[in-house]
Amino acid sequence: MHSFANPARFLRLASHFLPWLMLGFILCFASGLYFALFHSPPDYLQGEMVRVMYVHVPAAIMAEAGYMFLAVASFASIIWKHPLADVAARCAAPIGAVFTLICLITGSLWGRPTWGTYWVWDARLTSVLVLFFLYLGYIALWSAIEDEARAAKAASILALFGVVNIPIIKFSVEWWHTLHQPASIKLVGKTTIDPAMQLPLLLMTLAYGFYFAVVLIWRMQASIAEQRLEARTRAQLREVTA
Amino acid sequence: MSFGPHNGFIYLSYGTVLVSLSALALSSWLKARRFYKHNDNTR
Repeated sequence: MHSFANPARFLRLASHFLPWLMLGFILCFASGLYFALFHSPPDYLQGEMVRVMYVHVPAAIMAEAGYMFLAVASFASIIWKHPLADVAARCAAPIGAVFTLICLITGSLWGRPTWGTYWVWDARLTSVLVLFFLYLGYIALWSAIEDEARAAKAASILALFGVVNIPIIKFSVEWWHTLHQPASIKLVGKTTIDPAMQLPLLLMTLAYGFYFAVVLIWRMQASIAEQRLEARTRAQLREVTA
Repeated sequence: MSFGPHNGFIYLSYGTVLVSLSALALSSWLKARRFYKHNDNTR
């Protein structure tokens, strides 16, 4: 694992995988949209509104997966001081925040015709809003502290504390009485979604996953280039002043 | 393409996804261009 923490090695690997990840995103997103909008049947109860599920549920999955990625990278940053871990966590935060915002907006738009309200302070919705604020807090901490090492440490600690919110999001619909429905897709137990609806859901989840990877690589490339430029400028300044 | 009485909600949902993902991808790609320029300069 330590060998992958080398920025030069990461950049070589990333450049190799980037076109394939982009191809994966384009194929999954295009076919996912086709199946979601044209091929999948309307729900017997919700009618056409079920189509919002194909963009809402994958966004919720990515919002949580993105935060877990951020927390694991923050853990690696604190424990092993990986040079790449801070960069990875810092670059993943805005992507996770955007997926959380998509989840909140599409959920709200889905809620109005099906529940009769855009928002309700139930456990699931509130815990996802807390997740969004955790992402914003993480981004704000990086911007607020000038010393990069201190900023990385403070942001990593916040990220690790925030992990407690992930099981709360997951089990909120079981622990409390919520307006939000329980999970329909289960890793253990019977899935209650029709196979015709599972396919666009799977394709859109894969598309969001590929998107996350592509945008993360772009942001990490930019961040590493910025660090190298700063290091080179500092070295040149030292040469001039010596 | 019509989805009945809830057309607006469905279009708004998909529009939100397309706009926000495109904006983030574009800003990230523009940032990444700095990397490619930097690589060209150091070659």
